Amino acid sequence: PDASLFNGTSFITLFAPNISLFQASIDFYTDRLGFAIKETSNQKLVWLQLEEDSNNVSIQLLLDPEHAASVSQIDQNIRNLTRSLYRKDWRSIQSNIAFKSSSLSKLVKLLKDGGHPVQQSPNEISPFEVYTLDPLGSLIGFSGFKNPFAVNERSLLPKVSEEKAYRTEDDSEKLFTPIRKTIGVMTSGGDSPGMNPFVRAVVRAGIYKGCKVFCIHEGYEGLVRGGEKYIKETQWHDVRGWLVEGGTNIGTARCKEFRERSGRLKACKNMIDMGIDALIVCGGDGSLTGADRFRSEWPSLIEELLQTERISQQQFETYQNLNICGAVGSIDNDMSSTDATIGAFSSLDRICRAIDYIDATANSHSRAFIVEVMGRHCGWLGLLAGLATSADYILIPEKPASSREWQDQMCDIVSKHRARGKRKTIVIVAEGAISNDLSPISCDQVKDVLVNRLGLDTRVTTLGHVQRGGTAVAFDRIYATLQGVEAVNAVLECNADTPSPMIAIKEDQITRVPLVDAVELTQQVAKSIESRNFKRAISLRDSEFVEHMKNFISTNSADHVPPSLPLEKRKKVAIINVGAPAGGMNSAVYSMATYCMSRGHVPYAIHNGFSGLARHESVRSINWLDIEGWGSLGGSEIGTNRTLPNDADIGMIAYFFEKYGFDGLILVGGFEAFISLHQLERARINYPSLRIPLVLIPATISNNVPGTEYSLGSDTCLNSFMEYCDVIKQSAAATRNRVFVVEVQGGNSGYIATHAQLACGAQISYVPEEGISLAQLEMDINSLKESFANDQGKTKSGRLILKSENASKVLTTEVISTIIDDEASGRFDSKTAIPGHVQQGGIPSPMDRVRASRFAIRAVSFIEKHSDKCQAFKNSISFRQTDEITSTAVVLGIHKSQLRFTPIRQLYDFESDVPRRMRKNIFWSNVREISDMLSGRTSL
Amino acid sequence: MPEPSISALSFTSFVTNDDKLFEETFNFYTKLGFHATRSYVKDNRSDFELTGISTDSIKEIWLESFPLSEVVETSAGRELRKPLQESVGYQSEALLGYSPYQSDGVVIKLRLSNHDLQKNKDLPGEVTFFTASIDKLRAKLIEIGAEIIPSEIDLVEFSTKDPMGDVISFSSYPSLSSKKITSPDFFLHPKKEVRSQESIVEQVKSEEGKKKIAIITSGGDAPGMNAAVRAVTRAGIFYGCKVYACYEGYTGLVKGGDMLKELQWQDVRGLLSIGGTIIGTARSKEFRERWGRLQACYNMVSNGIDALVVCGGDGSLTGADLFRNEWPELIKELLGEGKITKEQYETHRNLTIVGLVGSIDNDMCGTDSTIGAYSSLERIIELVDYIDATAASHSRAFVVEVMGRHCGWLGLMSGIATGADYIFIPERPPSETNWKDDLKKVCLRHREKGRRKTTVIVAEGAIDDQLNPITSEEVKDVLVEIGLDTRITRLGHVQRGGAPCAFDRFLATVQGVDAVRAVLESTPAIPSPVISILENKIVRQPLVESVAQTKTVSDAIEAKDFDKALKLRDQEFATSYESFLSVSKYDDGSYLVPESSRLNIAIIHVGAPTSALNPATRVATLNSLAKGHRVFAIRNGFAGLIRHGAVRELNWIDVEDWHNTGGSEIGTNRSLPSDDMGTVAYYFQQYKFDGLIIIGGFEAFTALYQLDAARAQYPIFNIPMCCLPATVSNNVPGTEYSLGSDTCLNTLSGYCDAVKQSASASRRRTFVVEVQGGYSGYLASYAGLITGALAVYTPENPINLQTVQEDIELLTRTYEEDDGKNRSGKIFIHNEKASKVYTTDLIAAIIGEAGKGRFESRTAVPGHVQQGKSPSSIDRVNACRLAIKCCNFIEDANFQVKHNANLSADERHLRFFYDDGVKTSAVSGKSSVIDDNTSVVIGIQGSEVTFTPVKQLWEKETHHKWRKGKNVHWEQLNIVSDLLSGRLSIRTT
Repeated sequence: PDASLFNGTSFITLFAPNISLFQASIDFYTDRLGFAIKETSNQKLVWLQLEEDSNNVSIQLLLDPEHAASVSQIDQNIRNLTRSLYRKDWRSIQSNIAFKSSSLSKLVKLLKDGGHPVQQSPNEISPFEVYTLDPLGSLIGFSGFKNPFAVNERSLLPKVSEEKAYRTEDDSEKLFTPIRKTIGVMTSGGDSPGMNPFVRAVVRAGIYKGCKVFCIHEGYEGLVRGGEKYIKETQWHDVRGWLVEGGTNIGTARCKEFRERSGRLKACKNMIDMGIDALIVCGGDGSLTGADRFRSEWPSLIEELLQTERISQQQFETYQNLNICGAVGSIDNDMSSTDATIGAFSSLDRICRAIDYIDATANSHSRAFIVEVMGRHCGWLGLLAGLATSADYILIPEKPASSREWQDQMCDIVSKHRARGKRKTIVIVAEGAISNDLSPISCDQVKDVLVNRLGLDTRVTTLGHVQRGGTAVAFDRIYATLQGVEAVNAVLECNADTPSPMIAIKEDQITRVPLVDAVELTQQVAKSIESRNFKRAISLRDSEFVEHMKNFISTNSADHVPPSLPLEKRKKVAIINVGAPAGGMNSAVYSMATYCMSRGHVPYAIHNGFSGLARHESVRSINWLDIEGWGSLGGSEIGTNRTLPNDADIGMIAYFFEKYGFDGLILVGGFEAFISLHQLERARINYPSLRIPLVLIPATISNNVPGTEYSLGSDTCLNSFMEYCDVIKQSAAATRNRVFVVEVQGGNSGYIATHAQLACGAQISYVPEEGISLAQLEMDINSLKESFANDQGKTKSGRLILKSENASKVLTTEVISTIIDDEASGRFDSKTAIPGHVQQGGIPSPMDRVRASRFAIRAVSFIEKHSDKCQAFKNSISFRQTDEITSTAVVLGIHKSQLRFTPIRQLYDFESDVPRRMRKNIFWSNVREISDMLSGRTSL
Repeated sequence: MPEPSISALSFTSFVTNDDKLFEETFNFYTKLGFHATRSYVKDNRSDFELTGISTDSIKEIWLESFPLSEVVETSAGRELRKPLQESVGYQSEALLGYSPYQSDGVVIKLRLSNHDLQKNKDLPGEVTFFTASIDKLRAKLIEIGAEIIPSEIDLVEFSTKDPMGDVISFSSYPSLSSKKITSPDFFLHPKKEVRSQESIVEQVKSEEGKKKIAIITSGGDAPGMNAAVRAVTRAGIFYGCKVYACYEGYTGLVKGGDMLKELQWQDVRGLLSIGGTIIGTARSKEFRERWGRLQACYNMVSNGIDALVVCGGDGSLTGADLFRNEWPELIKELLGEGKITKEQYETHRNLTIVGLVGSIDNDMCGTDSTIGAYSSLERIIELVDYIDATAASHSRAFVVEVMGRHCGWLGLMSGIATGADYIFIPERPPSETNWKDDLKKVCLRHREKGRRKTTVIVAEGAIDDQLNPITSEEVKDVLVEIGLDTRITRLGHVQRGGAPCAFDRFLATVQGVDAVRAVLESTPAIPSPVISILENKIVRQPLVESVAQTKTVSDAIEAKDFDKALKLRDQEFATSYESFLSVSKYDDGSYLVPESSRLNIAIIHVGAPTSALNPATRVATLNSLAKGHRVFAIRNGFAGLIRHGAVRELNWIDVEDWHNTGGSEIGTNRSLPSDDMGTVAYYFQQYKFDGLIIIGGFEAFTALYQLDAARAQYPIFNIPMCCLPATVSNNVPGTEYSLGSDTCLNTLSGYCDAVKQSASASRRRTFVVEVQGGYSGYLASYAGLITGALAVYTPENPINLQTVQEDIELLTRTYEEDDGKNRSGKIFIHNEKASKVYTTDLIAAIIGEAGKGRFESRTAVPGHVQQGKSPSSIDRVNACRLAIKCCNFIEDANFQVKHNANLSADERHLRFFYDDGVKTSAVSGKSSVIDDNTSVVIGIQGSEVTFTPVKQLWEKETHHKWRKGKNVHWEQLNIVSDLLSGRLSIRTT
């Protein structure tokens, strides 16, 4: 480091003009301040020390009329200062030295007893600094702080912003348009978790809009066979409880007959018999193509049916057109033009869980495991599983290399990891992994390489169908539901000319894309791979995929290959966790550190939040082996708490930033982190060390950080809360006629409550944004009564009410439960359930892990980009808050699936409701409407 | 003289009223290596506190020359300041608030004032700064054009003036009384401080005489091994021993050195919930050689270790026993070679070995369960449940291959727990010639009955009766032949992983503690024991015999003596196999009883839902249907019967997929028959019930008692009635286990793991977790043990001020010990009814207050979620076992009535007769009028399944006010968990 040349203060030299002042000074320093005298042989020299044998500063007192000020000068000086005691700040009149003192009040008393003038700052009641004059007229100060930079300001409170309405534009209009249609819904192709929630949403949204909905069982097979066994009209309550169930309850099968025209003709007839004029298909690209072909053929089919007199002229007229809508149900996430297929994240969750299990064994035996995951043409599962479990190496179809290349590269990375002390090796192989000559790479091949070249005890695990099974994760439940609702809208709005739509998720929004185009694009990926045009194949995947791949490569080779940046570009980057723990915090630290290493930056972790830094200087450099495995750990390994910089002591924080010379800071946390960032940014004017890029990665289960639509941990929370609700609902259903009022965390944000309502099919959710009005409560209780009356004694009749902890001060969870109990007059009963901190979740969900990684790497890149720019501001004496510098303190957020950096200034001043700890713009209000619709609730 | 309240210098302040000088001075110091660390400009609209800023300053800049501190060279090729807490000597010195390896640094405040200044430039005298690089400084000053003024003052090398005219001097002495330091290396590269040899020797001496135990995990890893390591370590320390971890199995013993490390109390914190083994396991070729064992012997003796606790499979345990036998010889050889002293030879003449069986296969004879087996089963059912969804969606067949090369335990139990159609296990090989036909028959039959999926479980070691292996592929081919779309899934190593289930945490913990006791009680004469579990009790068995018996199983299989092989497994294995068949295979019509013996069996759920109600109902139904009985579900409890007469006949297809569903498909509530006994009797009459199974908790027990008591009034109740305890509280008298309690414990351990994680992320936070259980402390005690709670509060052990105080002392002490480290989350477990005064909230509040800011507390109330969602493997297996017993009981009792020669036909029909004018049940027979044993509670006591008359339990063994049995069979759990949490140490000292 730039080792400084001033390494301490040895002593102070004071000059006394005569023997009496010399003696008076000795008395002053000994009697008043507690210095000890060290005798010397020289009569004109006295050393005054604070403690024998210590390194502390000493005073050399010399009787030296030549250097000393004259007696009259000294008198004049003392008089002047004493006179200005209450008018001027002495510190601005005379240079001085200041000692540290542990007891200023005692000192003040001593000095005053001795008749010395005393000036105290900021006031006399609780001074931080005390000044006095010694007999020689020297201004001597005393500071109550351990470190002169400490300030300990606690009183600063953020300004109150104005309240604004929460609701954005209302698109409920769209939802209420009644058009009657008869809709058939089916699932086809490989099953995937989320298909049942999708079907449920179609059924309920359809009924809500006044349509009849038929479930077509066994996929196209059912369509061809027809009859009431296969095509069943489905009622509202038939799909109760389907949110929780994996697979598809209406079955799926391959159908050869449907590939023939004769089969399709039968299907057409069957549909007309049932009166179905709109078909919603959930399946993979093959199934969707089939549906589209069916639609284009439809006119000729009914023509034929009319000719052969199998349908009447009237039927012919009525069923001129078939409306088709597709939704992609596939665990591979292999469909172009949609960000996530239904089931992909559930499958990823199963994979990560299995690998977490295997980890234990691998670690115990110091073994290597090769895990084969699904994905014939798409490496999405393999790549994301690799990121989420910090695998050592992955092999996916999109990025083939020659067998020599991948073998060398894999062995190189694995052996370096091993050399560093990693005990386990995980290699993930996608089913469709190939080398660049298109020959498939099998797990056994990989195993042989590890065994023969590295001598590792290696096992192969093929996860197989475990990946398909089980209940859907929250993301899939929510998006399958939203897509189901949109699919119903789509078939109602389409006419003969619109191309068949496919429902897609683009940038976290539900949209419609032309089905044919999407399928065509998807098939091009496979074609490009076949023609060995890998670049094109990967370019057809979305940009996020490419980014994830780069991230994986840089984090897993971190610290082993020479860093990619030139020496002068390498920075010192610190990371800190602030606020309540949230899933993904550790993953963020892990990715931040490994990415830093790969770039050549030095990563530091600040342990135990700002208070840890200010009080204990708890800065540690991050060591590769220490963080091994953090990617999949819950909680916060480096510790976190809610203390804000101003409460912890902003001065000390700045001091340590300067001491370690951080070039950038990443804060990971929720609203406290947001406020912290604000405070740090505001303090830049006073503290040059804070004029560095400051990036906040939002991590809070409440998802209430302004500037982002997603916070790390919210997905984990949603999943663990959802699991909790599944259990509670089951309990309620078993008891029959029972309502549970479940209290949801999330501060003043109703995000979790709203999304959980959708994900677990709760009847009602109360959120702080809306509050609870008595009228609404009454209406809800009435509809509860009604719905219980309707399903006398049927199974699956448990009801859930979710209530955010801060939805109402008066109507607490207990009170609501009691009111319901009372109103029910014995026909049903009500209990409360308070999951509490368990909502923070155990192991972070794969989505949180992967996104944490993406966030962290983006944050480091941001620091890289802006740190040099900031350098210019660092030593400027007259620092001004310009836009340029303001734009370097940012919140990294997701806005419509795009990562975006927004300056804290803008967010804090314009987009936050600080006293209520939330963002002003509520982006999920349409989710509320949909979930109310699907649970049959009427909202005021 | 006053007490000195002044310590070191804080800063030096220079003031000027000339803006230009101010800036020049700032530049001057910056060039000398100062950093601007705080700046202030008066005109700024600033709402910041101005601590330390002079109110009359126009501008201020505070400069810091940071302390010289230790540096590291990074891969970036730069030297960086090493974080203080990683510096040499920090740990020891930091506590004193002073680190020797940092210089002080200098803070200078430059102030620009708008006042007239005091003219006297010599005030406050002159400051002499310390510099470790005096020559460099001089050169630098010359370079920037500063004046070098020679000094007359002692210790001062030279002086200079800053642009404001302040004289500053420089010295090579940090302070008056210290040595001269002429190079920054003193601070930048400090030498490592070596602890003096003397103190080490001293320490060793005082520790002498302590027994030293090494713990090894060996063979395949199993969930729960870590829990065993934790238990052995802590119990060892508690009993005054030193415990060493032997890393990488026997390899650590052979290699010694760092691979044989002492474990401290804190080292094993948080291990309960971690799968695998953190001390590693590996195969050791060296240890199979004599020289390797000799080396191992030497390493042990030189470390003073003479006891070995080995956790592993039969191979590892045999190895350990061989080692023990060879030990006298080995140690003699070492003495002969002069490698050890005579004294060492004398003290370590004998080696103690204690075995713990860690294996997921549950393949060890002499113990009911091995550590890890149930966790593995749990994984299997979790994964098969996943697959089920796909199978049902596609109407597919799945062949699932599970581990177990010589032992079909996992295969059998997972077959039961996942409602499999067919299983293949080594102990019961099917006939070579017709297994394929049989498989086809069973699967097709189930399909015909409407089942949409087919599950076949194949154990790795599956064979036919001619010892030909049966592979998953073969099985698949067979299924494809009958037209099923079939997939194979090999679960592989996933079966080994993950956090141990509640039972394994309990088993490993209790066994680990007993292993330490066994070490302490051992004498050379006692053969090496292996710690086993039999009849829910921890026992010690001779290691050699257990291993030998285990070997005979595979011998028997090889000799095609399959009956013997099955018999050598414990009793439950054979019964379980039979149970599996009766649910999955005996529905082929060949087990139908004669028309006249067919019964109407009613099933009702009473009380709070638990997760095993459905599996139990399923098994009872399938088993009864196979015999031709009819099964009626009384829906929504007695209230449903009384209000709506809600009875529904159950068919095969109704129940076939209830094996993994929690809650209650037929509905349950707390209502009792006494609400309207007459109506209950009416419906019993209407449906002609011949027997009743009541599944539920204390209400079910009460309901049974009420029905029994009403027999005199309503003779229709003179039918065999059986209460199958199912409650998370496990408070039904007459049983030590209730269905659902294991699921609840698993849920709780997951819940507590999450809460603990939250606590340790926030550091210094304690959670008080309120668990259910009514007045029964079973759940709380068990949960305390398996989650490593610091303290457990149960109704059985009253809370008073002293206990709370002691626990807070323990908490304080633990926090001090772990000094903000990871995995330091703490929990207290509090039963909901543990105390009227000391509620969960109050205890949390007391802890919070006692923490005085050093730690804080929160409450966590899991509530109804404790019931769990999907039943655990243990609950599924036991549901099967007990439900079949219930059915058998009803059949037997009916059989006795029908064939009781002492009864008239009327009496047989009416099921009662008059005995001295008293209506008496015919079912119990004339001979046992008083001890009516036809209304019973089925229970597990020890490992026996017992039937205890409800009357007896109600009158003698029930604590009515507290709604539980009088027998507290779990007290031992509290002692063990107190021991391991450190609570017991506090209590005894």
